[in-house]
Amino acid sequence: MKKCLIYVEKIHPRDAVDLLDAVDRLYGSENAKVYGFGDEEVLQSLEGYFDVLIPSGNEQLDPYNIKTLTNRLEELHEAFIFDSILILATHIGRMLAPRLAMRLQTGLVADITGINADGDRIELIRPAYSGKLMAAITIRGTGPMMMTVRQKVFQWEEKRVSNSQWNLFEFKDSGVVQKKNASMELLRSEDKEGFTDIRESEILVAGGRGTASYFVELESLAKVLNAQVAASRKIIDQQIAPRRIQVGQSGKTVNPKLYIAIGISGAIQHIEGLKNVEHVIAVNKKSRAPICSIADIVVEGDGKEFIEKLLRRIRRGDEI
Amino acid sequence: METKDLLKGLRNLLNEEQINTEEENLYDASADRYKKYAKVRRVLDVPMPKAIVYPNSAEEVSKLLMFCNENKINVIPRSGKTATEGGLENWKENTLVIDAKNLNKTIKIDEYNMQATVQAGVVLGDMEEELRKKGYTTGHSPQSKPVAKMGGLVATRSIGQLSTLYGGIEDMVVGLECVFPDGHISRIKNVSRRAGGPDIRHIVIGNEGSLCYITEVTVKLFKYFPENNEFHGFLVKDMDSGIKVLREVMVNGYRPSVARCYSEEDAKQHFYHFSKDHCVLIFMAEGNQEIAEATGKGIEKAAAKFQDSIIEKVDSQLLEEWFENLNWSQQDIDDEYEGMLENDSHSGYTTEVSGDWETIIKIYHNVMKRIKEEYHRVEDLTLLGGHSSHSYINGTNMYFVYNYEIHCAPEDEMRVYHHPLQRIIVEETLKLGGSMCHHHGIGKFRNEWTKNEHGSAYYMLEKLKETFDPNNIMNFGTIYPQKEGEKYQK
Amino acid sequence: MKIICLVKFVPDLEKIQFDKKKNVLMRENARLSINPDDETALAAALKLKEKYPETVIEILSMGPRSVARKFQDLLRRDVDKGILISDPLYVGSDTYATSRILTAYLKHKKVDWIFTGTHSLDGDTSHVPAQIAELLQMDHLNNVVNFDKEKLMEGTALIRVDSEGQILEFRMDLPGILSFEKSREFKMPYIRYEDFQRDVSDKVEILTNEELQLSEEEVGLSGSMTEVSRTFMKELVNKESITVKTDDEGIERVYEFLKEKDYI
Repeated sequence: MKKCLIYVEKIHPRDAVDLLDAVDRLYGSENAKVYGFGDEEVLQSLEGYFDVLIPSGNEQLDPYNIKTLTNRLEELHEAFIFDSILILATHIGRMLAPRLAMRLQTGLVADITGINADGDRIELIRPAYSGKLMAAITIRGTGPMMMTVRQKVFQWEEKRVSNSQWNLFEFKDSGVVQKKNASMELLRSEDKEGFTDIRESEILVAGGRGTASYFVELESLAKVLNAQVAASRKIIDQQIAPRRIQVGQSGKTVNPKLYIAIGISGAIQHIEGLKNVEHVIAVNKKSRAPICSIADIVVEGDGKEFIEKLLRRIRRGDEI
Repeated sequence: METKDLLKGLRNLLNEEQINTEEENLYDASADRYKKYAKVRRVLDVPMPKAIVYPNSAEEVSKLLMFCNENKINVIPRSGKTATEGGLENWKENTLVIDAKNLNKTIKIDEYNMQATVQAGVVLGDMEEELRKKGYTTGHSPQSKPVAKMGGLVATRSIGQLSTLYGGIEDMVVGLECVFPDGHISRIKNVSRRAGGPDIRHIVIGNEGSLCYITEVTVKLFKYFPENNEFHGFLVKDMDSGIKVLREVMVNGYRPSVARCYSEEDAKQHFYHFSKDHCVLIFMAEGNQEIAEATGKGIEKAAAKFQDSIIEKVDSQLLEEWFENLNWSQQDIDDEYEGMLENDSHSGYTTEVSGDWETIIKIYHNVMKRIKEEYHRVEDLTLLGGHSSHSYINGTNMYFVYNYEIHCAPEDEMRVYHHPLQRIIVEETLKLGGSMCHHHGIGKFRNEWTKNEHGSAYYMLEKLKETFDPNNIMNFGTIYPQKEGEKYQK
Repeated sequence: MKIICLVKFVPDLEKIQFDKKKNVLMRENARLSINPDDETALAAALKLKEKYPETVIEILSMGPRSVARKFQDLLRRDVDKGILISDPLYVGSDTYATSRILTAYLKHKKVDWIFTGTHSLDGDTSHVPAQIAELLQMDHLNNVVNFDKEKLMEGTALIRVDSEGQILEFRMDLPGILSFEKSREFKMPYIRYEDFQRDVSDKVEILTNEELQLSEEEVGLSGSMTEVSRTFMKELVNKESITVKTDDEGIERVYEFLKEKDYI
């Protein structure tokens, strides 16, 4: 029976449950005893998923008190000797996991996207060089095997046990009020507001001269794809859109994963604004517009029709 | 001369609305597209002119020049503002920019005699549009056509994309009118040809404002047959083969309007959708039906002769679309301006040279080699290439293009990038006997090689300057090297 | 106030090509340049120094000797010193071993703040700053986008972090490690033309294991806790373009593509 620890972050409880999928791929869910560590309140909503639930202490631990978290996780490992420790690759997770790995003098693989388990030989797969390359990593040493996982990479739905066992572990520093001695403290947080720079978007829906008469429609497509709207120079020239969303040599250079170019011919000055784009869908009346030579899919036809039909199809979703 | 006296003098000669002393306009007038980046970033190192004036007639130009000549005021003749070599850059404190804006009348379109007369401030693009409605064309099609004006186009000995058929501006000019620093107005009449002593038009055509001010131009007209345009394109193994095909077409007497050969990198930026990393050869046959067809056949024949070097044909449709979008518009210029404000980059620089058939390809290879080996910021180059775009029976040009990431302060950009590259290109060209300035003019930034360019013939240029502009008031620094101006060049 | 900037030199992604036959990344053609996030960190330090000229800024890097030349452009800005840790013994070190090597140098230095980047273009694990923080018992923050200069100089930094759709503000006492995210807030100052050729070799120090005195088991592959067993390209097929129309079939094809690639 393998022992596995999963750190449950306060604001991401459901994502922590998804890590059970990783455990399953590592050992087979029935071969693993999974421990969940986090705030008591949060753990209460996760009954049935973890074999053991360990609340973080008798007071709520500041999620950003990374030093204390590291101490507590070290204590847990000393007590239970886990085979593996899984942490979500969130902002906190990415700071916590490496610290813990160094503390435990063990190997850590970041942002895994896949697992190849062949008995005791386990390969953790992760992207490198901005995804151009995939690497298979093995952990050396005696363990525990540590890994961070991005949200939504794995999925897990089912409960695994009828009752989770609660372990009210006594940490060495339990009861000691943390905040006053903290050398680092979260003071406040606010939502990021307003316009996000198109350079930060993973998906861009861009309109060119052909979309002048219906440019506003691009926004609806962008919305369902969680994307941003961008434009070629011709649209900016006609003052249909502000310059800050202009893609091109004299505008912004973007590197989204997906670039949907509607009514854009693909003049070199525009193309020079695209760097390292993974996928391009070009929608154009002329299937031989230069931009089509760099597209994965060329949609020959009217851009407005394309947007309307695609929107309908996406909203319809998966029907049998 | 004190500024207030200068302005007072101007007010005696012109109306108030003809005198512009707006600071933004004066700042803009301090430099041209050569220092475009420094200008946008507000780090120009040159003085501002004192005023811009808009004369309404040649007589007013005459009075202005006499005033400047008497008071040793530097004069920058200006029309379309599209200069790229510093021809419009100001190197003197006391400078007057004389802008041809109000000299914008079309004087006569003479269809029977195939001549059109316009004033210097007429936009070529506008003129072309009018002519095309009647079925004619000037045949002059520089990339700046939508914006450039006739005065500047003649003063810089400009050339257009269709020159291989129609020739450069020097082949198109019939007669002209110009004004000299002493106030003298010369009218060269319109005749089809004459042997009346040396051809004095050529003192004016290409003087880049260093000898006189052009006020009026007459150019030839050609019949316009766009329906007969034929595009022929090929992917070719290398530049050497491409140039050979160009030569084959030319020496056999064909005159395509467009004859171009692009190097791999240069081709990739224009034709990324079909160049497949090869050199690209492009021709356009133009003219009346029989001539266009015969030219097309001649092109195919020349290509066939070198078929071992031809990789494949290019779809004409693709070429036609590319060609239609080639020219600058004012919006292109404005957009580039905004882009330079936002980013540490611009659309690149060029140096264009010429030579005979044998020499030009040697120059090309020598330049490429030397830049790759010697240029200290070669890592910052994002594009280095060249293309031949204007051919003659006895040679062609080579237009070197280079883009780069700017990793230095805006005020250092030219010294770090363009100048060293230009130096290599000019030196290699002059070494082999080519010309360092095919069609952009010497401007101010190649004047250190003017004497080298002309050799013993420089004597003739020098004497012209001494005679026509003894006080050196005409566009100080253009063509003729000036010690005082060196600080703005280095 | 002393700030050490950890910088890494990474290959230019655009130029990297994959040799499918040999299954290797052809890194030789790709030139090395400073990792963008690290560059932001250094630019932030330089911005601080602009305001507080008495600040001492050092850059620290680990890599092959050829990297020392890249240092020069950085040193020609107002950077006081550049240390390059380079030894063939260290080749093959993973982040764990690398962190220990860098700490072997850092632990003897009195440093107030360490600035570095959050992401690196090649590996992008963000391990090293956190692990150095652990070894030196310092605090550490990722995704830093800005900080209050005055407070930082006083020893208590007010730091802004961009994370998961929120802007967070932290207080951190020195000594601490700030991992920056590439930000348009901090740009490297230009080198002036006169400085381009300036000899800065006296500012560079190269350290080998002779100075750091680590045992063989602690470094290289032996000192690593992880090992790359193999690498492969994600998509083994060339980009094949397909053309469709805006009819139902075409739209369906697009929809499928979007689903397949996880865009919906």
